[in-house]
Amino acid sequence: MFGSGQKETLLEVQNLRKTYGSGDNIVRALDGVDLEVYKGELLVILGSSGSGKSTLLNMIGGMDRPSGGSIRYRGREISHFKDRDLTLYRKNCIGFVFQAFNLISELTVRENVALTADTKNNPDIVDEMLDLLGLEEKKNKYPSQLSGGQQQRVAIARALAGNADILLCDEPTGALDSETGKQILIQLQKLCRENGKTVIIVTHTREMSLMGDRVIRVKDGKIQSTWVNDEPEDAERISW
Amino acid sequence: MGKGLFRALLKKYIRLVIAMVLVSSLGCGIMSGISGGVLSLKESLNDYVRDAKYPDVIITTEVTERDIVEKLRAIEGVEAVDARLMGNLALINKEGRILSTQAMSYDENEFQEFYFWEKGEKKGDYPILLEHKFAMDNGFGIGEEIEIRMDDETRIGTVYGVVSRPEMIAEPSLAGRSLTAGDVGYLYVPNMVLEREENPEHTKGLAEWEESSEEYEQAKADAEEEHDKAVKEIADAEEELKEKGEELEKGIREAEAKKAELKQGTEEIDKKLKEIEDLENDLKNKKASVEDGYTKVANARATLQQQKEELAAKRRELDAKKTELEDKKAELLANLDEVNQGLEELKDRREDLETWKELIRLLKENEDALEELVKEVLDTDDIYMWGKMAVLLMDIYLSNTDYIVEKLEEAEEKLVMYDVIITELENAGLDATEYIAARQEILDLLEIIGISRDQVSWFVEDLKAFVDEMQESRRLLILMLDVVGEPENIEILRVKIADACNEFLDKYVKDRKITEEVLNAAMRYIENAEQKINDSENTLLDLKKQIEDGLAQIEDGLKQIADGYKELDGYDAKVRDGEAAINKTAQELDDYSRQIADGYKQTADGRKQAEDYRKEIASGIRRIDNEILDGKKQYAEGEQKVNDAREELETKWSEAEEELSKAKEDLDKAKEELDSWEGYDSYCNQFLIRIREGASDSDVLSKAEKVLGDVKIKDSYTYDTSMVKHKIDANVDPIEIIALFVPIVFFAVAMIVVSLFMSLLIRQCRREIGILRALGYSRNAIVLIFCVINAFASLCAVLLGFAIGFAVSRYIGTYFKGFFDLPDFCYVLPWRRIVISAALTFVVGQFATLLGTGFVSRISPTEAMSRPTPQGSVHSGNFMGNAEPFFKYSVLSLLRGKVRFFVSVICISFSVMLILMAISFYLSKNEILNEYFNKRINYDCEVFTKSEPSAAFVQSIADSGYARNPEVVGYYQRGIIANGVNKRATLKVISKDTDKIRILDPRGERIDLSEEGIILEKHLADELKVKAGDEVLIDGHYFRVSALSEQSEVRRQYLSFEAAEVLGKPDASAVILDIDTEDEVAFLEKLSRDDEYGYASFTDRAYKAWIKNFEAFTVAAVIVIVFSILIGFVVVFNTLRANLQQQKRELCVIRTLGFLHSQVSAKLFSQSGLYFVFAGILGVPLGIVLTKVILKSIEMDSRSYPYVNSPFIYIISMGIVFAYIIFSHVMSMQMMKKWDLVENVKDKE
Repeated sequence: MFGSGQKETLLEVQNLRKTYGSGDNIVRALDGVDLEVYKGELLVILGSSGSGKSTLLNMIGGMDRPSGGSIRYRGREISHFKDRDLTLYRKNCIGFVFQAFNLISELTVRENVALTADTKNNPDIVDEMLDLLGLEEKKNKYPSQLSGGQQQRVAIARALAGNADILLCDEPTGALDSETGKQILIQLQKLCRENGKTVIIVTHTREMSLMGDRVIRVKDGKIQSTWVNDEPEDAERISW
Repeated sequence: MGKGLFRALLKKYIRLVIAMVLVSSLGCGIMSGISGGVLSLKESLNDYVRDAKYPDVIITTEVTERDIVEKLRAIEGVEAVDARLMGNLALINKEGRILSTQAMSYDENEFQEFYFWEKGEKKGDYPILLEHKFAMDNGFGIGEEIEIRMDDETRIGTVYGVVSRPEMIAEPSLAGRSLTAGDVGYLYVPNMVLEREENPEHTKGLAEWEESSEEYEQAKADAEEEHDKAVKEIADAEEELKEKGEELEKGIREAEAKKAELKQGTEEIDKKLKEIEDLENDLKNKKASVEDGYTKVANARATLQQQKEELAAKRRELDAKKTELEDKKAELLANLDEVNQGLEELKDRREDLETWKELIRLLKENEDALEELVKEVLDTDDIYMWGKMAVLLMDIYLSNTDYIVEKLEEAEEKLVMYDVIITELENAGLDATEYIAARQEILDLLEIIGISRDQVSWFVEDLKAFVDEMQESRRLLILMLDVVGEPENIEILRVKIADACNEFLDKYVKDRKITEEVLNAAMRYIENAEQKINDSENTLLDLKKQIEDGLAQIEDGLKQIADGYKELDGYDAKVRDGEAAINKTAQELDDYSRQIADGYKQTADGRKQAEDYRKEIASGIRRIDNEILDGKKQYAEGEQKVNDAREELETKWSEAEEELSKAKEDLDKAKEELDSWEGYDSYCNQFLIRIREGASDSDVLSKAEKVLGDVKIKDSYTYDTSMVKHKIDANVDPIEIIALFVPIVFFAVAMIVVSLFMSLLIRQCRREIGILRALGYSRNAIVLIFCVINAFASLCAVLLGFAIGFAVSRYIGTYFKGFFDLPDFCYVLPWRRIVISAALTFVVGQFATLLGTGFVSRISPTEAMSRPTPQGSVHSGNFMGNAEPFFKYSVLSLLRGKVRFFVSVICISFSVMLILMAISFYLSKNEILNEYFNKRINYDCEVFTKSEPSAAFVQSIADSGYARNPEVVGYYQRGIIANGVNKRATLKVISKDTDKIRILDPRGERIDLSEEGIILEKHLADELKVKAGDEVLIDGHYFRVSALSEQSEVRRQYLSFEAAEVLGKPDASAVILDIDTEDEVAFLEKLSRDDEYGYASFTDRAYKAWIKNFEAFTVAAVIVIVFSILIGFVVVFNTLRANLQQQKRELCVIRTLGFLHSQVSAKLFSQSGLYFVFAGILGVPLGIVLTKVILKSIEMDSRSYPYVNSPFIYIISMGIVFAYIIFSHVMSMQMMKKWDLVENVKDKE
């Protein structure tokens, strides 16, 4: 369904490289990755531990700078952005969902979501997000009072509150049990299908790749293969 | 494995360990340094006191013979007796300043030993020992020669030693040493210096010798003076001669030059003569031309004269013609006047005739109106209608009648006038025809209208009367018609009116009525007359025209004549011009002639001058030659004279030198005899007694006083060494208090900080601990590792602290040395303190380690290895309400670790406290200076006198020209008793109106002295437990406390002269004054010549001495400030860094969410701000309290230290802390920039 040329390209990655260390201790986390991300698709990046999938996600998310190659977001080259521009890129264009949720424990659910919300232009955005993720009743609770799934949903709501185009999820179910994780995946798929969000999920779980519109397999810092799921599986049918 | 782990942990957390070492070493350093310094001070002072030699009993008497010493030595209990002389000497320092000193004689053979600071060789006639501080302040060194002056005698003393004066130990700087800072000093001189003044024979011999010496000196001086004078005169003469020689040469040169000039002048004269000749020739030619010119002028004058005569003749002709025409003109004008007059008269006549026309017409009209009126009376029945008609008719009549009356009266007047004129003319034989005709005309007209000449006036009178009657009737009629309206009355009036009219008509009209015929006749008459007038008029007009024509012709003629005149004037002008030209030419010729004459005169003069000049030159040359000869002769004579004078002088001088030399020999011989005179050791006025061990000093004293018998005792006391020690302790104790407090505070802070850091270190090692636990390490093993780290850090801290402490105490020692005037400062290691501080450092650190590691090691390995989940309270954020989330997070995360927050606040507040304390010390010292030198005293100098100053002495100061406004002050040293407490104090007696000393109350307001009462210093009053209004006892007299003052000198009380009278003569007196000169040396010189003068103390020098004395204070304050800042900085820096580390992950998440670095930094600054605010709230009050406590504790016997409540203190102390909060924050933010977002947000697998 999502081949090139059918939808708007949000991200273009060309010959992306990332190395760590120097001399004899060089580690090539990414070694020439070419990739395009289209608007409204659910992209799954699959790879085992150390394959470079998280590194690729971090590059796309502006968390780190590449050692070589380019990343273009809507035609703008972000790989040479300065810290301030990268920060703004993360603020306005990207939403991150971490494996460990990374909520602020001193803040309530609502306050955590409000951290990224653009309340000036949309005063109701926080409540909308909470509603969207089914967290209305929990809005005044603290993270320590929530279950893992609920915390991850808060994280997702926080990621969406900034009106980001792209949602980057790094092992979003990693810290959850399978049932809860499934719920999260359902939520993510729903965001993609019903709300038109572009979602990229990094995972090592093969089963999760079935739900993606497109799947990229990463190994040793390179894209090993790419395929399109003509009929992506519903998240609720997936189990691992 | 343990070693490797130890090394790895140490390497990883080296910064924190270094911070711990630094802080605790500072704490240890302060502890050992200050303690060591103070301990060393005490030891040094004790050594000094022990080594200095003191007598046990000192008795000061009048001068007496030394033999009495033997008697004193015989007293039981006496070990040794030394006798010496005491007196006042003046020394002159390097600047020429006179220094007053108390001199004591010395003899090293006696038991009095000196504590030498420096010792050299005994040199010179008067080897002297100077007291150390006095020598230092005035820069006197070993071997230096100093002028000693006693009364009028001056000797040269040589410094051979610098010694201590034992009593000075008991009066260190803090207690308020002499204000004079070197102007008053102490020294020890050989007996003979002081003795001489007391031995009469020697004194007499000395006086004679001095007299002779003076005479010799005088003679020598006179001879030298004369010799010098003579030498000078000769030198002057030589000089003069030399000058004259030079002048002569110069003169000769000038003369020669002049001669040459003169010779040159002769040639010029010849040249000049030639010129004159040429000039004369020229003049001759000019003269000939002038004569020709004169001839031409004469001819021209003659021609001109002729022309003038011709013009005059023509003018006369014109004049005659003009006269003729003018006469004619006058005649014609006269005729014209007559014609015009005639025409005027004709016009008048015409007007008259017109008037008559009108008159006659109106008369007729009137008559008609009357008749009509009458007729109406008869014909009309309607009364009212009649009335109206009557009124109308009457109006007509009345309006005409005025004119008629006027004209008739005019006619009457004219007739009378004409009669008179005619009569007079006829009488004069002149023609009166005209007037007769005019009269006749009037008469004719009257006749025509039927009024005779005689009737005119009657007619007019009657007419007027009638008019009046008619007017009255008219008025009545109108009244009746308009108002009254009764027909009967109107009827009556009608009849009356009719009757009046009829009467008038009968009288004047009946016979004379102006009918149409009469009117026509009158008109005809008038027309005839008018015709005649017209004819006459025409005639006159013709005549007028003729006259006017004649006049016009005459005018033309006159005009021609005028033109003729003009022409003549033109010719006249030309003649005049010609005349002027001739005159001018003549004038020029005259001038030229004069010039020629002058020229001749000049040439003649020129010739004469040239000749005279020639003669002059010759004479001048001769004169010059003569002068040169004379000058040479005079010079030779002068030279001879000078040589003669020189020879004579040399001869006389050698003779004088021989005589003087002989006299000097005699004097030296006499001096030797005087110097070698024995008997110098005969007198003394002070006895120093050392008693045997176990003997009672008071017992010995009383026995000694008995032995002395008649010898007058001025002062006596026992000198208890323990008193000295007690005084020292009293002065050192305050320092000890500081030395106790400050290090403890520092140390405590340091220990708290170390605990904190240790806890922090352990927390940061949580993961490592978890891993070790997971690997099977026991809790004890883990604890051991950290205890070793702490022990290592403690050891480093102690060693470093010891080094710091040693350096600090050496530094402090340097100041104590000068401060207490110690010859040597022996550093004593404060072993106990060092051991205690080391032990505490170790113990506290270990305790914190045990606590921290014990806690962490109890956490399960898994949990320890995982990221700690912050366990904030669910209600923790409620108090912040709807605050912005990130701000709320930044506050709450800080409060997460309450204990850590609290401890951090305390540490930072300690920094505030310490800095505040140190600054307060500094300002307190400044306030003492300010209070004394700016607020309290207002004079430049205090001159102490030997006894109460006389009025003459005071006046001499005022008249000296160096000073002004002298005021006497007095001092008493007395015990003040109240409520069973006796405190010794100084009473200063001043004038109650003085402005030179201001006494201030605790609020800083000025207090005035009363005539009876005493002003007590507040602290002393507290000790005596009295307040204002209470009474105190002094010398058996009660004094009311009139007020309490507050000042740094606690032992200084004030009272007025009137109040102090009961206390008798003051113990010391002085004169306070203002200085008007910068030449203090000269002022002192003048003062020192007065017998009453003791010594002088200058305020500005005292101020400098105080500043110097307070240096140690300043140093202490600076040390405390520096250490406070260092500790504070380390604390704040590490606290903030640790705080930041705690939040590392969350902050990275927030950055990931899109918050800019600057936004995060701003929010985190609010955390620093919280620290600052709490630290200030806690630290400032603590600092104030601590400072006040310490200042109170260091109050000495005679000095208090005020707490200065200045905003400056708070601003600076808070400012410093805030500054390094900012710095720490900035550094932390720099560190934050380097965080790897990726690493910090992910959960390690």
